[in-house]
Amino acid sequence: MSSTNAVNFRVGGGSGLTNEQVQGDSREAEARADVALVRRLARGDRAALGELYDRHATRAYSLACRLVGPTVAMDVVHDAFVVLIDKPQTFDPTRGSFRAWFLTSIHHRCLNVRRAQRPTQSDDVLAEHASGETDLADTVVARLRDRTVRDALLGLGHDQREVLVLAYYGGLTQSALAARLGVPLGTVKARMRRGLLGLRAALRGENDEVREERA
Amino acid sequence: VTHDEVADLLPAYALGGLDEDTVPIDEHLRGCRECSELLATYLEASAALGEAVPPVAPPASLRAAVFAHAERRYPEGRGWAWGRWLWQRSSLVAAGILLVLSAGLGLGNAVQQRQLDQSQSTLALDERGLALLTSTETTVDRMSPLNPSPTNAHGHWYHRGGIQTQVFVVEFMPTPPAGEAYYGWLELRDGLWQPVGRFTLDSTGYGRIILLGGDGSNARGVTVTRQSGPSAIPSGTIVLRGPSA
Repeated sequence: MSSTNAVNFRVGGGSGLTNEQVQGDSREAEARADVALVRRLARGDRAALGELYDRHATRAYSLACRLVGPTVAMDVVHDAFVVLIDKPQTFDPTRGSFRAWFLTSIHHRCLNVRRAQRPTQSDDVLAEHASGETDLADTVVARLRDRTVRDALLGLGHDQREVLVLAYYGGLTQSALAARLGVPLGTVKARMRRGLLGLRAALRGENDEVREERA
Repeated sequence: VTHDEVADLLPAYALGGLDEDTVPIDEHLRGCRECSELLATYLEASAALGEAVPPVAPPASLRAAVFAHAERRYPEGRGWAWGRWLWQRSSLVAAGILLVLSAGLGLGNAVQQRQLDQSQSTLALDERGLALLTSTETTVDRMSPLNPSPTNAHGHWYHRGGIQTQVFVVEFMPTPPAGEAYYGWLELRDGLWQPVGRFTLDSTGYGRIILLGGDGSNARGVTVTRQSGPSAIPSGTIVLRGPSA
């Protein structure tokens, strides 16, 4: 059975689309619109910048606040927009959506700041658990606002969830994770890869399809 | 680095967990479609992690600084229409603009880009605020005190659909206690709060904030609080609210 048939069977008629597929279609439309806006911005259309700002500034600022606090977040997001304005060609649509690219840009900038200013001051969750308690990843996940992502993370194995959370929100590198968890570097890499693919599949509703196909 | 080595590092790249320098990876990605597509797969998931944090509305000053940079980068953009209109019609405004420009240019030789952006931001705010206040189509909503005010404290929110500028004015505000100040907030229709900024009062209790970006159509009201410092959402005491019934 193809995956498309499996989805139609699961929904049981109607539009034949899952919520994840509807969200996916919406995301794809959003991604196409973002590409068009970046192209307009590259031609000097400042109205396009306004639209891009309205669509992405709150997400970017929220993530930056979470990672480095509001004061540094201002600088981080400002700098990211300055790069976008000055060099819009740095966004390459073949590497994914603008949304993902811009958030990754914000995330990397924040981690650079944090690694230059250890110990971290903004991440109260990780600071509270600096001793390395086993439920750290679950504590961080429980505080996430987005239920879909939270559920998707909880659907992963604990080992995969742990490396995703400690790397993304905690800013730990592969080697730091290996040392902290007492596992080989190759194991960390494998958990990262499987964790990201599992998270993506869960967010797309593909895990449900697999389960139903098996049923 | 080889293709296989890069492919092996891409999950950590997406999570910001690389120990290695990213430059060689970026160089490889520019010429390797297979790795770019693989990275896009990982980034879709990592970006979802970034979106899962609780939302915090960015301060208005961030938008102003970003747009000020854009105005310098693209000086012929449509946004300058209001500036040209004012320039042609008001020698006083023109003199003010020249003063601010001079200050901005003088600083430009010695300060960092962000400071220059701030000067441009001030210029842009002054221009657009004046344009809004002189428009006959502008909507004026009154902000009233929650409790009777012996000083007749009140405020006004000036906005106009399609014009990306809003002006917030407070008048006859009592001097706040030491360590506190008045802050403006837009209450958005989606339930979030957008900080407007801190009011700097003159000796009569008058203060104003000019907000660049947004025409107010996404907001259902304005609140002024008295609080000890900036915050992500309103704190302290609500002193004014509008539009008044």
